[in-house]
Amino acid sequence: MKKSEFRGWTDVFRFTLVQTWKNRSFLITMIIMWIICLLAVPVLSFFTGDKKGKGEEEYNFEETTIEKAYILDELLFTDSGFKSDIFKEKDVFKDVEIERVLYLAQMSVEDEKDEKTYKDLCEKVNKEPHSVIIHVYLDITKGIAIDVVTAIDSKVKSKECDYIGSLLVDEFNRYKYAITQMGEEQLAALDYQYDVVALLEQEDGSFITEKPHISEAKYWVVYAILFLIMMVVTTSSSQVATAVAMDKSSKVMEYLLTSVRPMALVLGKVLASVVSTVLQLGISFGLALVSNKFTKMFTGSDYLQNKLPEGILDNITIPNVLIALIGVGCGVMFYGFIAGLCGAMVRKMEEMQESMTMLIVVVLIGTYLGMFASMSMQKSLTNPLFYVAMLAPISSPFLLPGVCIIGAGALWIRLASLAILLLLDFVILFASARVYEILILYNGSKIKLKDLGKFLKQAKGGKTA
Amino acid sequence: MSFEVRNLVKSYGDKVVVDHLNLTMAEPGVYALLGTNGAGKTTSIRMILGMLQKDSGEVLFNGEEMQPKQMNIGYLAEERGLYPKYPIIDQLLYFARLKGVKRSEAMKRVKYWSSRLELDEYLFPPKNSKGKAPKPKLADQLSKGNQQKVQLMAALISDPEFLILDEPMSGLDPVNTDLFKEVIREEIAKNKYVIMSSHQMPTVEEFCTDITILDHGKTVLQGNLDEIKKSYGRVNLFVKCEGEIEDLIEQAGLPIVEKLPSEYHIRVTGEEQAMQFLRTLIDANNNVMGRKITIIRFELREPSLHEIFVEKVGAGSAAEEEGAKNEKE
Repeated sequence: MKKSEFRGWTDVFRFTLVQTWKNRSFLITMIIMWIICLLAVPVLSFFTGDKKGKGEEEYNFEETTIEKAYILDELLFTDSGFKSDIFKEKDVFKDVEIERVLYLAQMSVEDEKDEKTYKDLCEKVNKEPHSVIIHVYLDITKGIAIDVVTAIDSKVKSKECDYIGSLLVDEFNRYKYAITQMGEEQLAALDYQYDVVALLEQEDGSFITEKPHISEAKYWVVYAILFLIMMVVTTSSSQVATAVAMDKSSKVMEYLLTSVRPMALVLGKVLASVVSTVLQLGISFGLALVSNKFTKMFTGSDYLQNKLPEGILDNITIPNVLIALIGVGCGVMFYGFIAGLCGAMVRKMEEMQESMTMLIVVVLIGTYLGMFASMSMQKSLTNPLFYVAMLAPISSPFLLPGVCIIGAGALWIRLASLAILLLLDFVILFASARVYEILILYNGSKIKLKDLGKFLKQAKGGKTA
Repeated sequence: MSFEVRNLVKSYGDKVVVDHLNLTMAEPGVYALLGTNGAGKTTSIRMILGMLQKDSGEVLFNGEEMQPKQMNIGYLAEERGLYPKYPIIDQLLYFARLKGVKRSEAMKRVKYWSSRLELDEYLFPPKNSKGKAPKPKLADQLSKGNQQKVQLMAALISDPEFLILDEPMSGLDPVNTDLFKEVIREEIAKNKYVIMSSHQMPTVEEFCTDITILDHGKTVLQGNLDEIKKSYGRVNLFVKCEGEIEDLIEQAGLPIVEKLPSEYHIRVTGEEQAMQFLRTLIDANNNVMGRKITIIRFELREPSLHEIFVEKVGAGSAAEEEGAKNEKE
């Protein structure tokens, strides 16, 4: 490729970028997006009542709305020392009437008339808005559970229930230590949930560790990033396609081609779209962080840190952010070149929508592939679908940034994904510019998808300028 | 300095759209590339400009392969193109930048051409009564004629050494046509190479020294316009008289090309036949009783470019149509 092939791309880039940012609808969309980013954190923080951080909540009410508590202990822990009415020791609950409900196993023949099942108890409490049930039972999936149950139209505040719940959990832990004769640390060690870690051998014989799956919370982060990038790619691609189609339909193309090569035109337009998109995203991200900081100053709570999965901020390192951003840029470029072809296939602006079908289909396939791969990441990070989606250029732009942000997958797969994208961008720039060169001066019958192959062949044969 | 096109060929599939085109401009001037719609003019121009790759042939400037992207070429395309929703001034500065003109210089030139082509009110609108500058005009806010002026500005803004004008005057009103002609004359006076393509034959005759007429990609006539006309000889006789002369024309055995009100366009073989007919008219006036013929106009001239064009291209097309018909039969 000669240097002259790119002569003038900077002028095309500058003009396209300036005109994009001058475009009224673009500006309005962007300002709305920025306002949303600025207001999202304080508004969400206000409505979700996240004024204080997790674990800092205090119960400082002076009186309770609870008048009666039914204790239904299916596991009979109460008989062996578990104080299921421990909350009564707090002044605020001292006047609460306690009624122990006998469970089947506790009943003697005389008690049978008082038999109450959980269902009956619930029906009863449903008519008593100031009553709660303390239900101790065995959940097959979760283990031992302690529920604080209220009526549907209960007058009892949820905070009071939470408080009672926390007091009962503390009491249960004490009870555990007592009956097992183990200390808190020993029990904690027994309760520790281990991640299974796979060891991957590298070429130099050393080992690297890789977590074989991700948590559900992290999956949602990948999912959210994937959809955000899909929207960004779709928007920027349609910008490129529209710009090219406008050049062609307004006949400006003929004038431009006296000064620049088609390759410089495509590159200038696509890069303007990349810069536009990355700037838009960067500013929005920055505004969200600023907004979070200001919200923290007023509420004392770091909203983003509280809401994001634990440890995710540790992965936001310079290399990870760089790989993610370059990945987004390369993805926007990749889809931008395809969009350029779609735009060049158009003879009139009215045909634009039809021509964009090809791009939309590819974007959808890429998005779904990325989505299924992110689902599969909850099971395993070494499954073939994950590798395919990370390495396939149609899906990697959507998946790679999320994977970097949550710190999943080995470094080599992230770098390989980026390298393939970069290489393909280079190849597609060359190939699409050649086809583009033929398409932009073509005003014959409507071009169909199958004709593209013909044009590519023609371009390969050097039938262009 | 010279410009030369040698054996330029372009085909799309089996169809040859430009078939061995040759043309030479030994010195600056205006060269006309003529032909009916689809004759291959625009394709030839695109090849000269390097937009389309030629199948074979050469385009030489000063004896070397022409590098259009590295030259300063001004091009006014047949299909005018401006971004409809972008400010005109931004577009002109962009086009100038693509041609390598610096922004400050480009701005000076825009101001010059804006004034010269009477576009100031659109490009540099005066401030309103509140002292506020109005928003810059977008291309689609201009009339078609004014858009064409902006296009001409775009073609001339880099002060090109080589100018290609494809249908420069089409769709212009008489006042703007004269303005365009003046500008083109000024450019010619600067010793520039100009290639003009037009269907307006009087305009071509006004500016061009050499012509090539294309028909279905083939060159059907080429050379210096004056010499071509001379080669046809003075065969067009225009006669306007008071009194009826049609019987006299028939008696002389002269074919009538066109009959206008009180005027006849007659085809003669040359000056001798024309003089003979003039004598017939004078004799008729003198000798025939009761017949009075007053000669108002008696003009013998070469064929116009329009006539040559119709003869060459019309005949070719007719022959081809006939051939196709026979082939079918």
